[in-house]
Amino acid sequence: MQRLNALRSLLILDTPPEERFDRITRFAASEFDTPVALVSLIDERRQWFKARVGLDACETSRDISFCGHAIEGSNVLVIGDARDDPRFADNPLVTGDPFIRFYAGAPLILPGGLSVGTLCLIDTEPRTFSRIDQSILCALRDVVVEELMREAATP
Amino acid sequence: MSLSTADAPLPDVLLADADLLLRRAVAKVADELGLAHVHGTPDVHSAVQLMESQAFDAIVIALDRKGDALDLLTLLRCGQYRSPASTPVAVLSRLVGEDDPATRLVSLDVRETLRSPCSARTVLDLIARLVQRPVAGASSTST
Repeated sequence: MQRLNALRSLLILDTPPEERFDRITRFAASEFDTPVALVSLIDERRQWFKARVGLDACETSRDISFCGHAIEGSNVLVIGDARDDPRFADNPLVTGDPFIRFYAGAPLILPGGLSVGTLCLIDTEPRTFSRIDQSILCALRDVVVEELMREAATP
Repeated sequence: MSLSTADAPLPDVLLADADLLLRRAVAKVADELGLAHVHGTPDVHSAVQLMESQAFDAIVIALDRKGDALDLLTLLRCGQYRSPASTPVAVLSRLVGEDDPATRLVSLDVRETLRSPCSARTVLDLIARLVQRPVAGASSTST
């Protein structure tokens, strides 16, 4: 409940796309050469995308989301090949469109320690993800969190 | 590569480029990897201010159409800043064709020119070459 309250206090759910977030997902997709990059926010029933590259859907159900797992930890969640991971092998996002194989998600942890979503990368091919890759993703994640907090601080 | 890099203080590197995300990513990761302290700045004007206030061990600077970046490098080579005149320099360039200042870059002893925009990883590898330190932590993780 605390996490959901923190998310709602940002007043960002279901708001229109904004360049300050869009440029981060564009940069991430280009940096890592992935077809999909998302700023994903997780409420009680769905993951909603504040910014997205390479995905038409603006939200998906939380119970099949990878990001729902990523926000449970503080580190980057890396799934090198979802077909080989028992948590995700039968996930409809893996067995069907968009046929996710690779996922890397950095949790969006607010200053109070609550995680409200992720900056994540998705590919339809299995991949590896180095420590440097994770550090770069986290640096971009930090910018997303700063922007979220800037929004929250605006009267 | 020096054998004593682990004990040496981190080199200070100036990165002058308009892309905030590139600067932020490079600075954070370079620090985490123990590669360098990267001082990011968005333009030549603010780069000059930094150059006047402290010395750098290497400089990575984006070229601009006005030629201000090349003027900065000219003054650097003349010993006009706190950094040694021989400080290693690389440039990031979006300029092509008639605007490409290749001849002047050679005369300014620019070690490398990268076509911009380029990835943070590419700039990190560039900095590693300039400061002659390895980029550690390149091993892969899949879970």
